[in-house]
Amino acid sequence: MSFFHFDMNRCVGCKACVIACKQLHGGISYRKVRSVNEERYLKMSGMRISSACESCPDPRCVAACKNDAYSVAEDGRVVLDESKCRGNGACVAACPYGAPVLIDGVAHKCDMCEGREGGPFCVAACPTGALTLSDGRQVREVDL
Amino acid sequence: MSRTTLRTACTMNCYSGCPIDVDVEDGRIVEVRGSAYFPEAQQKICLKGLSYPQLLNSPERLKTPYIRKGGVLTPASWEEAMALIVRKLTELRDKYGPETVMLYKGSGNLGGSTANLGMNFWYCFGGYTGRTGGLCDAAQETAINDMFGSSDYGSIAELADAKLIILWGKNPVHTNVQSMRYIHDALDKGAKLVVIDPRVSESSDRATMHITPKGGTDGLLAAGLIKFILAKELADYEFIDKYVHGFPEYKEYLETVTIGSVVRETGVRLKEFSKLCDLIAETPDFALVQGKGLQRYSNGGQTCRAVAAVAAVCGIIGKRGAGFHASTFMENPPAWPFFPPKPKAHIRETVPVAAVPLDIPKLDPPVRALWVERANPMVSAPGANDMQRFIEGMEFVVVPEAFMTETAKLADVVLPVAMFMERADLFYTYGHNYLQYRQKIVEPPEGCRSEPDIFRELARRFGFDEKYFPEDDVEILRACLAASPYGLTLEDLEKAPAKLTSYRDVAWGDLKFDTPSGKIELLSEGLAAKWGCDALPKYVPPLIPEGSFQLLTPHPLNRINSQFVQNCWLDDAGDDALHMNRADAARLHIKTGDTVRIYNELGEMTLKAKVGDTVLEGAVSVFCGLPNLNRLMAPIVTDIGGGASFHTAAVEIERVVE
Repeated sequence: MSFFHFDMNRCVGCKACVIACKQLHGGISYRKVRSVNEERYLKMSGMRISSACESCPDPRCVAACKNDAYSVAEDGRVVLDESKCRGNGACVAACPYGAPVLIDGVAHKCDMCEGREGGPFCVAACPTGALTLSDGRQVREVDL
Repeated sequence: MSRTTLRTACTMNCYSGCPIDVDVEDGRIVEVRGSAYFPEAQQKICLKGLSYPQLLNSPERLKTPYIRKGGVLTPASWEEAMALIVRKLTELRDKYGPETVMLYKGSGNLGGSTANLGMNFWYCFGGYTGRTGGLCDAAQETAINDMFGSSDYGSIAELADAKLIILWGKNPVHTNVQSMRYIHDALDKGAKLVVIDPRVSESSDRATMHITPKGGTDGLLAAGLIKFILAKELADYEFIDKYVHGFPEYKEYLETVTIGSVVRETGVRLKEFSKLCDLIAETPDFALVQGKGLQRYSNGGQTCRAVAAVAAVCGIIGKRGAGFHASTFMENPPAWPFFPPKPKAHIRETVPVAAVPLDIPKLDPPVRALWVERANPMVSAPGANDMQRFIEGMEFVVVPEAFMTETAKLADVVLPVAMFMERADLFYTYGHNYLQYRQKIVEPPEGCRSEPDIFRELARRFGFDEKYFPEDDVEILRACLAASPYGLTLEDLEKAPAKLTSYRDVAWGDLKFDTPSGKIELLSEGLAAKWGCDALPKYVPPLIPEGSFQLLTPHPLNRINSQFVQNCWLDDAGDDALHMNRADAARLHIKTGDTVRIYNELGEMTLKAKVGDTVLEGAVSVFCGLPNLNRLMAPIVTDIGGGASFHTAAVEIERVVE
């Protein structure tokens, strides 16, 4: 269970995941909920997308970081060693999900609540079951 | 470091009333999450509950009493504050009688037994002036209780098996997010969702239909829908004959309602009625969930009855995977074995809460002092201008509060109180019928005292009989449980929330209705006599003044009325924009992100605009709980039950040129 799985059909944009993340990270959330067509043009459906570090198969943060702060763990998870960060923000610019955040000049990102009994808090907190864990990646390799 | 997990419950006035687990490390809260599985809570809590570590430790918490000195609220000692309260209350009571003190109780800290300690104080004080009705669901509660003979709301988990779900005036994503899991479960199994709401709400992303009547015309929409249902032979006459009282009279009334007027006044098109009827024909046993939005209009009570009539005519009541859901409070709260004799002659409870600022000043002998408890009427009651004048006209105002709210700012004495995790209580809510033990988790911050402690201290200073003011909160709760008919102990509740025996998964599952006729009363002479309304749920248009836009103030995601505004974690989770229709916006040259002024003769606000189709032309929407928003409304009381009408303001909008 190394990866997040997100079911857009079930997400209602309630932001429980965001606030759960803030609870464990001193008021900062590494997870974002974005809305598409929030103002319901032509009464068409709105969409809500919750994302954090998706551990991409071709992680651009790893490629972008000159200080080797990012690496890919054995299980495929992208891991950030904050002690190696020099704060140049290359990862922030590179990430398509906006996952890394610079706080006081040091990059931080979702570590799937490493060490928390019961796994990532956002998943535990999701009231509708939109956010779950899975063995396989939901995010596919993209060729841009 | 020792980490322990304690169970408590969130009591901030919400359907969900969630049990929560709190991890505490060295007296500090480190994690708050859902607890104790029961189907209505599913061990999940909303973003507001998840934000408690910030709210409880907020730098904005009041930690010292304040006394108004030279017109300014100034920090003071507890001794000074309590001495002043005793002196002023005694002085006023001796001069004008106890009714000169008005007790304005809200529901910010919901349910609970220990709040009765405050009532003991006022009984011993000799009386008070109270109020009737409520700001939230008084119209609905009165309407449903009269029509069905009781409140019985069924489990939201039942929705998972429904084939067609109609959410009418309810936006569970904001107000009861746990029910969305069951709605999604049903949708995943092929069910259809219809949302009826003047806003294209957050809960309607997967809706098959979104019917958007003009705000306050739901009662007429229901009448029109029933006309269609009858015409298309979708009514359940067997059910009507057996269980509905007054159907012939109601049918006669429907003859006078023309489809033309329904379409014209509701703004709902004919083909929408047809489509909804087709869905009902496909699934005659559907679930109808009545929210609380539709009753916050001047005609709210009759609207609730008219919408319930749809359920009665279709015979869906009491059926599994279908049925009629309209949550109101359970009927059997825990007993309170400590009441002193009630000074009935000196208790005045005649004025509905929404009319307080207008009608309380008319009473004789006059009210000169105000005690506001668990309430922030300056932000959560309609008519904030009148409320301000009313409060400022008082000789002495006391507000026990955790934060310096808009109401506290007008007080003469503000007392810093303990929040819910900082004191023990019993707890029940209106979205399910589980009784919970709200354990004390942490000590209140230095300088704060619990409301029971405040009343105990005042009682001592007044020299009231000690037996009415037991010292220990937990012992009080034990005594309450012992005196209640549940057969439960505090230890039982510590282990798990208790489902009370009167609670059924399917509302009115036995089809027994405790009304004078023993049936669902479409025709109620009793209601008509009591409230001066029609005995039938006849449509009366909402009282909306002249103006360009109807102002809707629905419930936000990140607040419960004015609660949680102090929580900075939730700031970017909310949406404090003015939502308007793109046709109106184009006419006024407003686009998303523009600053707009929203005003009428009562007040004004400046907000950012969001343009789209979430509201109809001629309406704008701002989520409630913002300071000054309720200045734009007049204090209007609902037709039935003494509720409050919020969505009946008219405003003008203009772009602010920056």
